[in-house]
Amino acid sequence: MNFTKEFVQKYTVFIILIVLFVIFSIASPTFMQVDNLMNLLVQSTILGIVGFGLVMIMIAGEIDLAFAGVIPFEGAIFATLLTNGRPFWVAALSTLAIGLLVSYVISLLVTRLKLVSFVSTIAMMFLLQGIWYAYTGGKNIYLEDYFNRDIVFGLVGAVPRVVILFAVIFIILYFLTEQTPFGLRLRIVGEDPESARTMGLNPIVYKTAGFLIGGAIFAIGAFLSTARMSGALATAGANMLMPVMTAAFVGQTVLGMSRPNIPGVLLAALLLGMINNAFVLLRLPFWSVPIAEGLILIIAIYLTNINKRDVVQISM
Amino acid sequence: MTDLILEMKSISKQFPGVQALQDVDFSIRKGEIHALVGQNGAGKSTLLKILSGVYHKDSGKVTLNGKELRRWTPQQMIDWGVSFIYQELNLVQSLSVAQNIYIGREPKNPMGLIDWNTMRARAEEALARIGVSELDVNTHVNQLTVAKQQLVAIARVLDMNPTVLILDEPTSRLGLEDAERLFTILRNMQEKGLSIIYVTHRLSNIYRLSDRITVLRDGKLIITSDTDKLPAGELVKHMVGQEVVDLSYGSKKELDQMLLQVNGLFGSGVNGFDLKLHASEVVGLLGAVGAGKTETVRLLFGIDERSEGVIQIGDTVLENHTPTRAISAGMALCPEDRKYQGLLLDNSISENVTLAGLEKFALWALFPNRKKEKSTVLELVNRLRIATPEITTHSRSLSGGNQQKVVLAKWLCTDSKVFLFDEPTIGVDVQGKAEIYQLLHELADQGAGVLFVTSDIEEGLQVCDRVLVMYKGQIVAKLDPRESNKEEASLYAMGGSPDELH
Repeated sequence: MNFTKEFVQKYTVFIILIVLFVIFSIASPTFMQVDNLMNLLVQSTILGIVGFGLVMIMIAGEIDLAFAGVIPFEGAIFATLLTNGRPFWVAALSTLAIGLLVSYVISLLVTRLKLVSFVSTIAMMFLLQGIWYAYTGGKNIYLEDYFNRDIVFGLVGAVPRVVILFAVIFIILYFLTEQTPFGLRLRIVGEDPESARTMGLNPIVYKTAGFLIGGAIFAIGAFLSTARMSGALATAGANMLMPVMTAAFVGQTVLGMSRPNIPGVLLAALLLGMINNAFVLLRLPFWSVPIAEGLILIIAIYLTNINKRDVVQISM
Repeated sequence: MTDLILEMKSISKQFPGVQALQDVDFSIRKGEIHALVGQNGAGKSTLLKILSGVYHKDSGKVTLNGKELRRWTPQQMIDWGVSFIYQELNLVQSLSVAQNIYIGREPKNPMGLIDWNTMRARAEEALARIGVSELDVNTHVNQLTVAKQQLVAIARVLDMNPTVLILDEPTSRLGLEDAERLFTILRNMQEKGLSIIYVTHRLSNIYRLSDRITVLRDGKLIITSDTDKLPAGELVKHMVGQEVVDLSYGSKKELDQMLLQVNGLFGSGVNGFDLKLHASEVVGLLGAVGAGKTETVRLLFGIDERSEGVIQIGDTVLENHTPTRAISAGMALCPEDRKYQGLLLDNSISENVTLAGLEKFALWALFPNRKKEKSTVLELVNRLRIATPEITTHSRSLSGGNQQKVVLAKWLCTDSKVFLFDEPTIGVDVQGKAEIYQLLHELADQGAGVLFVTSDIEEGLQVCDRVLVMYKGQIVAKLDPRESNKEEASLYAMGGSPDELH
């Protein structure tokens, strides 16, 4: 009994992933084609990378929903600089700098002014969405003539470059969070700041680092989403808010870790990407995707809590 | 004078409205165990927090190894060889034993990644050095008992080779054997030249362990003396500032009205528990840590599900037992871990007190009667002598004893008849304890039945009208405190039989 419970809890996401994969490949002949699988990976990539950013902050015991405002804002800066004839690297570095600045401001609000990160980052999200409209005059900025999508989506062999980037970021973050002293300490600060302090770790330093790493990854996400849509769109961030949060929370259940972790986000992003992809191939009605995502999120949260006896324990 | 490792001279510290420390001198010699005692609020924690670098002194001089220190951070103090083990232990619950021992000093391989194998091996060595071989270093700390967790905390700190070790109330949650083991470890460390500052409320510990004693009261230094030159009576006088009479609280009671009857209770950690609790009596449930006392209380209150047994309050047999039903049947519980289970730390005293009896102060729990609320809370605060400036003060800022009294006040607001107290005096100073004992008996005198759960055998015998001794989930002895003694009760608590006394 206990064994089954543990097994189910550890491997549910794997099982759902494999079962759906088998079902989809039987139901739709095009699903298993290399082109489609690559497409599926590309679809999961942005979701996964932004999810990595969010999870880095969650490991430090905070949350940052401002990415839904940061990403369109950074996209607009990037696009404007390119359309004004600045070189690519200037635009890219400026985007990164803006991202780090915003994250630093958020970390000051949280660590110095002691604001709750959930609320203050939602505020920051609205603030930046407002600034986006003021900055762009409400118009999307298109980049077709200024930006070669192949830089990001070109193939290396059969594999799109962006997928390789995804894999590289995953490996770096996996080792950073699970195998380095820094990762262990980040987690300790997130789970038990009081003990961390008595062990001589300064929570403010680690939380700030978490926000900054997250911010840098969000900037990569902004660049990718701008490249994918060939422009800076108002909807770039808001559309991403819920799927990214879903990926981060579903990821907590992987391997029964019951804590935010990088491999979990990878699997969850693949799962969500696959559902999106297959439901389109199978011509399922558009509303079935959010229903499926909602159900998976509920199952995931249930599994995270299965061993905890308390009524509700969702840690943000 | 030359063997002084650490010297603090005329340390003063002021907080808004309070002079927490005033011209306090404190010093420690190489290889001594120095007991730092005083009631809650005497200034012990403030002094130690200044030493650790959490607070900064307003004035005074701190000399470590002959060098005067200006301003320092907690990390610097650790680097200089002064290590702390706080009462809460401060281990990270979700990490393994090995990880906890090496947080902040993780062994790395040439690639900068954590070398898990080395970490495990060194953790085993660190535990072996204090004579602990039974722990698996891969176990998560939250799977360990408090006593084992404490060993982990000690292994962690000693592995950093400190010259001074500070322990805050280390035995308050330990059973007899575990406390003995701790003493042995500390003495071994002392022989190797480690200086130990030992903060405690337990008199017996002071005399068993320490070489010198420093007493603080109201932020002032009262006395520093060699332990053998300061008898216990005098020590308590210094701590309290007035004579306290050591009296026995319990007495033989007429047992007529049955309040709580339990037959054949089984559940996790409890193997057949019977109890008859009558009106007006205080019954002690004694036993070592891990004997199943807390588990019993949880079953009685309906927190955990029992597998077998009948629980009856008055004439009502409790079926489908839940805490809500227990409360409405007239049961009240002051849990062991008040910080997590009994008290909302970030809410005011007033809010905490009126929580359980909310219907009394608000029509349908919606329309509060603030005036009634305030007068009731004020009355209770005065009656229980809760030391607080305001009833709107957050519970977090109260001392341990006063927090316990707030939990008690909460239940006094309800119409409870049966009171379960699980270790109510942990971390409470001498005077606070005396007040709590008195309150238990006041409750009983008003017709309530009180079950007092404690692992401090001496305390149980002193306080209760009659006592039950528990061992491995069962009652092994029923004793009359006036005819029994500490040796006999302790023997039962350790699973022995009275024949072994002779």
